Amino acid sequence: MSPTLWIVASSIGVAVLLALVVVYRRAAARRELELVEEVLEAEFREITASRTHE
Amino acid sequence: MVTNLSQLMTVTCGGDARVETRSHQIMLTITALFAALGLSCLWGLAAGSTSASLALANAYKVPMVILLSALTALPAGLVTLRLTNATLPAQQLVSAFATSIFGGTLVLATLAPLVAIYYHTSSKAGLPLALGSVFVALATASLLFGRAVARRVAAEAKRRASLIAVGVLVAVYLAALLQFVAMASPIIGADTRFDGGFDAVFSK
Repeated sequence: MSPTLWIVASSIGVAVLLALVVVYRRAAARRELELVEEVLEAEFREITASRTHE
Repeated sequence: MVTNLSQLMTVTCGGDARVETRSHQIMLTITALFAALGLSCLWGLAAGSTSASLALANAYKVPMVILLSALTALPAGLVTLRLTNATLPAQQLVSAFATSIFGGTLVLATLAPLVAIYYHTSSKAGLPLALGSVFVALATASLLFGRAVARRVAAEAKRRASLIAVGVLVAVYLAALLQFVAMASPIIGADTRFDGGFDAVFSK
């Protein structure tokens, strides 16, 4: 089998892995924002509920 | 990361992990793929343990063979999904595929110590065990993939269309794997029919 083909194929593989790292980091950042939003929303709901109670 | 891995194990075992958002699903899919590559690296080290250079080369070659085969097969599965007008979203197919690869490589890594021991101590059982562990892992991954997709489309009307995509993806994956193994050979420190690819495997 051709070693050149293996080199080309594995460099494509490495490029895909690097792209996946970038995609993962972006998804992780987005997920963090979503979690913060959830916490803020829950807190806001709690404050609103306590004010209504007062 | 630990939470991701624990959720990944739950999903792989067919459990119901709380995957709420798209970003979370992307994270789990990529974690599954990277964990699978790490686990296959362990099997590569075991299978090439006859010489240090082969073991080190395998630590790179085996994960790369798995990744490249998956990349080759994925477009075929996605196109089949579209052409059959299946209800399963493409992202779910990719996610199920990644977790099943993780499941298969988990089997490979589990059998890796046994492969290494037998490879060094038995001339009769070493090679069959190394090859056998690959077939067991492939069968496990295929079953996990089928089960994951079947579970996701259980309530859908067009279940068969999604399962056809699974069949096509598995078939193309195996076809690509055969040739990538030949390209990356030697992976095991002995000559096998798989070193010659399709021509050697299916020659009379």
